[in-house]
Amino acid sequence: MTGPTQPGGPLTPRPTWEDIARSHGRFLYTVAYRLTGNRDDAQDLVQDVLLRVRRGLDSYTPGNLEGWLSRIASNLFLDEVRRKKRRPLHVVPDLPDPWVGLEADPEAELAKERLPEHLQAAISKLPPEFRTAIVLCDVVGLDYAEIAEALDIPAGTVRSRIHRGRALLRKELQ
Amino acid sequence: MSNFDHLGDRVSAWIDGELIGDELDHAAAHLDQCEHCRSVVDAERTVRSWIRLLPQEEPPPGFLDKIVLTGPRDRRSDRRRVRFGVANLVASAAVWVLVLGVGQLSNTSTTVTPRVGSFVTTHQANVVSTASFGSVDRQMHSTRSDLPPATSRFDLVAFRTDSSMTQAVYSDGVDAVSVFRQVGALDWDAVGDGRAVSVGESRGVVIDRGDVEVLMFERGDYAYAVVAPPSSGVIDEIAVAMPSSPGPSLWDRATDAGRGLLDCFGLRG
Repeated sequence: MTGPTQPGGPLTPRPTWEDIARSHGRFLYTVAYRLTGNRDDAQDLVQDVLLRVRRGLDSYTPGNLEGWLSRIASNLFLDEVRRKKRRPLHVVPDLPDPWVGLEADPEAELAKERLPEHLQAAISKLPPEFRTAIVLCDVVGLDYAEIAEALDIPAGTVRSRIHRGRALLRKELQ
Repeated sequence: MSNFDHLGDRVSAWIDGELIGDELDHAAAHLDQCEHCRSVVDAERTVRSWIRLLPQEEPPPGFLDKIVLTGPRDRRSDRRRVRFGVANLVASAAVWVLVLGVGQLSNTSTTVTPRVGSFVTTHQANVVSTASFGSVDRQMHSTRSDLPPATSRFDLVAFRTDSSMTQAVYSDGVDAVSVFRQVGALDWDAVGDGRAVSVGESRGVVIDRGDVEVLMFERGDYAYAVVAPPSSGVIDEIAVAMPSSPGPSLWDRATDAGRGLLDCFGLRG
């Protein structure tokens, strides 16, 4: 099922929001989980993004769909963080077991069952702005210019947030 | 820029291939000479590769299908509706109690040993399919004209009562909530571990049972168990909605229903 093509540009049919939910739901859930750090909030964020997609699909220009979805997810996530700062809620974090060694090569470590959850726990501890930049860069695969545009911040700020975020992750994981 | 200025946040840009022109040349020259920055680059590259190798997450089974089927939920609207909806839940339950005449104040000293698992099982047995609620609702209203036409998010869709306990089931078509009420004081030692919450001035405990949460609390001479899905927000809304200081409610003034009714759902403490 696809929607009408965009005016003046009939090369690629515009997907419907249902198409997007089916084809990119798992991707979107992954991004949401990396951002929020827990499954309930990730589900809420996915719902919010798809609601926004359903309402704003007309404004989407077929192209980098994952980039567009991630941009919506990131901004909704940061909006929610700011809202919760105004109305603090008690959050129950996922508590990982004690950290496993980090000296081996990445592939071998990732093969260990528990590394992803420790890494996710460390990502969840990052300041939301750093976390968002890292997720857009390393999970979604956007370049710095795309991240800067998505978050409406200078490219230099993107560079700084990614570097500082990775440094904090390294410190957290050591 | 000297080659001996450390790279700082240019490390990430170097790793990600985001440096161009002079910055790229300077960074390359610096790394040839600076062991410190090489170690920083190696460490950051390791962290980066870990993140990039993380597997995709699996959403809960049926989660995406449900969204496609019913449409994404508007949580902002839901928040507003839940606040109003809980008030209606309490009010419609109160009307129901009035109608059935089971809201009498009791001074019993019975101790209620909660069977949390039984509440959950009973709740789930009565809400096997939310799709059936519409027909249940219509059937109830066609045969029980004395039941209140619930409004807003939560409709009373089922009830049952016996000599010791009553259960009311409410639904908004997506989430189902059961309210169990039993005369007596809770045996807190038997409640088990959970998240402590305040329900008005009373103590409450929220017990996580996987797909649902169970809120146990006492009001007046009754012990209550509210069973609801965590995502519905009902448990916390009920805890917040309970007044901390007893007083006449709008419902009380509107209906002059009496103390037993108010006590039933804690509107008077």
